[in-house]
Amino acid sequence: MTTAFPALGTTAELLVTDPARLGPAVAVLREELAAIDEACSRFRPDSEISRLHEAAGREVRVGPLLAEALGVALRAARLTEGLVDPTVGAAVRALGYDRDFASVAADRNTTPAASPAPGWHRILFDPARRLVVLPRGVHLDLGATAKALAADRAARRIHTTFGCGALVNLGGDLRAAGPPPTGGWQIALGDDHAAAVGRPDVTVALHRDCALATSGTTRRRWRHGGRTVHHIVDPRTGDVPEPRWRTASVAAKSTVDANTASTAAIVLGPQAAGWLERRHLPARLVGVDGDVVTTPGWPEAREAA
Amino acid sequence: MEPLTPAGPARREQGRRRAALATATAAVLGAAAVGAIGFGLSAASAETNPASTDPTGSQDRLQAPDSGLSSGTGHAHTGSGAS
Repeated sequence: MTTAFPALGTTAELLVTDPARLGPAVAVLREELAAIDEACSRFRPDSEISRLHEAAGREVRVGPLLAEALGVALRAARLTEGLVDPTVGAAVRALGYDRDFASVAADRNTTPAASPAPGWHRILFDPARRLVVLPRGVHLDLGATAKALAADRAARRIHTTFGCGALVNLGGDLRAAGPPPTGGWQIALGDDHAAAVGRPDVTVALHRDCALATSGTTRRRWRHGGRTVHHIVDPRTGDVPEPRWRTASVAAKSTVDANTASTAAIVLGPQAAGWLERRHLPARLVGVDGDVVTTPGWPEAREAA
Repeated sequence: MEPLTPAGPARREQGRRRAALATATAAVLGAAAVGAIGFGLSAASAETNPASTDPTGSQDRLQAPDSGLSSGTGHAHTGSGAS
């Protein structure tokens, strides 16, 4: 049984193995999504992260969920050596992604010079007491990891609460929890998560307590300063990375880890496959020219005709 | 006759002093925030990040799946791609 609805600027989809549990499971998912939006949305002036920005330079005690999301984002930054850095907020805004994507202007003439992200090390954080000091001028964008965190939290909670198998899909970032259907959850991969089922490049089966995330440069694109840009920023330059991959799909134990790795792969470009292989992460990378590269652990291709 | 309020160069000098004081105050406040390190806050680091909320999470590395993936049947439940 499945249901889908708009959330977090994308589509949320929930599948469960017990049809009788779908209704209450959807309620759990909606609750988790609302909570992550209230804590982490940089587009909402009333979100907790917006209030944290307003209090820049001062010590702030944040709520448990924002503390968790911040901890997850900082861990991602550390494990990728800054390839996925939550302090890219100003850079993303400078590229024109300064509001909900549906409202991003088609083009802008000004092109401010890109500058590197301030760096995650500058955030002062005491996780035990949930105290944060955000330096002035540092703007957070937790987008890369907060959505993935919501998928992890919701899938685990649905399985724990109702006992059934659950698959949460937030815009192509998936988390399976509990027993899957026979043969595993069948996932179609494509350029566009919403169209992949109808036009898959390839399908894979996702098994118990496994996650899969795809980052790509074919969606969330807009014109800015006479060129096409997208939402993935290289923190080292503050600009979009050199185009090497259309999509990077990575499997991991959690959606947070899968999304962290898939985002890092887009940023890394030509070095991505080796970086993923050294971390033993199964991945499938599709180049801008259509070439496909996989890492060990990715299943044998059963490409669609 | 002495003016009741500073005028001309004297007023500008007073303005400069106030601006300098405000800048100095801001600098002290900023230093106090950074000084919070001494009171329990520390720059984000391996030691201070909380454990991943996932019970299977690790502070040391991105974790590969236990069960992994297998080839699909071609009949998909859902999709993954750029969003």
